Amino acid sequence: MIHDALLVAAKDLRLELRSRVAINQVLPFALLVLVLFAFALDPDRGLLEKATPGLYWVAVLFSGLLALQRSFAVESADGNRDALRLSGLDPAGIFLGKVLAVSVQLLVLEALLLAGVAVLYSTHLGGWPLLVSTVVVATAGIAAAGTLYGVVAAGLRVRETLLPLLLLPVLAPVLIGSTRAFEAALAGTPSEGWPWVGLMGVFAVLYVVAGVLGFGPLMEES
Amino acid sequence: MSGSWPYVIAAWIIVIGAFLTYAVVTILRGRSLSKQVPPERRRWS
Amino acid sequence: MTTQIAKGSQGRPADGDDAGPTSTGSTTTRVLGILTLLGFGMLFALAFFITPADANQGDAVRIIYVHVPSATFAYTGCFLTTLGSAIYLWKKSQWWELVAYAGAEIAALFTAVTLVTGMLWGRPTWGVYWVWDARLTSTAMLMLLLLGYLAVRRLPADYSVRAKRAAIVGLLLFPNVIIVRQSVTWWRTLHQTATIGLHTKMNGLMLFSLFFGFVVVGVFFTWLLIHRFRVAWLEEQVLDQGLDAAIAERRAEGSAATSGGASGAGPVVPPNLATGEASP
Repeated sequence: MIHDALLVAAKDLRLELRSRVAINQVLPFALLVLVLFAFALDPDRGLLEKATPGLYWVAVLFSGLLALQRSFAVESADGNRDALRLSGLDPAGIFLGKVLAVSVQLLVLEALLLAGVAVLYSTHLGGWPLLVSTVVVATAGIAAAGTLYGVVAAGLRVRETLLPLLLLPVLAPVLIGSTRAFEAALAGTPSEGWPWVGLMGVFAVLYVVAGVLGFGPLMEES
Repeated sequence: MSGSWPYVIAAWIIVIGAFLTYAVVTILRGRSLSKQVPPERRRWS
Repeated sequence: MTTQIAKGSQGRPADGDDAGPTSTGSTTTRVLGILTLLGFGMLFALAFFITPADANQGDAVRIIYVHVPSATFAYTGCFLTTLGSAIYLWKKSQWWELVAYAGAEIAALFTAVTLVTGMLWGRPTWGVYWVWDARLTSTAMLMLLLLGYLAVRRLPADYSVRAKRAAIVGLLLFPNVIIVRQSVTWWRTLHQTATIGLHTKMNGLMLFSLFFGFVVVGVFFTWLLIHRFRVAWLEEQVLDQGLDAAIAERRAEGSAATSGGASGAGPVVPPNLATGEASP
């Protein structure tokens, strides 16, 4: 299972390195969102800095959605879905591999966005242990839930509109948790943030388990 | 707090209206669909 | 109100004798329907005329008698969806899949009613329609989660595709509701916002009215569930018939031989449906 997961993840990341869709399109989009927030909120009144955690995670969610769409567009082309099914790989492994690949892309995206808010919103970053834990746990949750709902929407004509409807309400706890944890980290009161990391950890575990169990039946269908 | 009466009445109208509309729509759909399905597949009375 | 449903229940037995029922009604639903009508009349009288205004909430308390039961049965429907989805994934029982679908749609109706009545209660009580209270916010999220499930279930695709994908979403529906509720509750309490509850001192008659509200809404919920279940069953039958009859028959043979035909591909009637009441 782990072997299969690494195989699938390596395949997805190699594909990504060659096509550079994430770097050429998703990342600029994420930065665009940051700039749009500055247009929407008056940048001179310190609103941006105050709202950094929320704006940051909303930007991550929206651009993460694009990365997820991409991750399944890759599979739906040329009957890849069937090929993957026939490959004899463990479905749980395929799921974990996709989660891993999406997580890596999200982590890169998040690191660059973090630099983006530090520069553009003049946010003073601090509380690194909590900041990093939040990013890791939230990413795992977003990637696991995103991959599971991504495959529910995959291969349908309405997938572009269906995935956000399915995924964003489900990710509400992650958005709340990561935003609060970031606020706590930036305000220098990390003890308020750790329970949120725990909640997001439960969320991530729930979705990894659901994906490992549910991916088989979902892949079976015609 | 007699000012809350309009809200109370509006709430009840909406509740009854929504429930009734949904119930009627469900029944009517059931009737029109029943006509299209052979009787041996809809025995429940 | 009375005429619409009563007319329907009288029309059924005559033309339903030989050819099977021409509607989704049966003796059980007729009894439940009449109880619902009587119950709502009684509840209305209790809420408007018999019970007094509340000391804190004033007349707005009269909304509570229908608001709280609606909320409870919205969650009940949601739970049925998760239960049905789980059993469908486990046993491949179409019966439970249809229960899950019916439960979700009714839960969406009840959630909408809960939200609207909640806002109309909030306006006179708090002065605003909406506050970011934990209970309100998580109910709104429940609505969105249900809409997601229904969107998948209503996809224009093969039954097996729709049902399986919807079942995965449905299976996660209730866990999601719990985790969203938990996070929203923390979100509000960490900010030391007083959770604005339904603080009230209910006297015996008011408590009875609330209890009676639960019973009435519960009977109505059951009535709807049975009807909606049968409509869903008929919908799948009609869709099946759209296929070429010969192909349908072959498929039925094939799937009966391999998997017991539970995918609903052909005219295989699940045994429960022959006598089928949707008794949850």
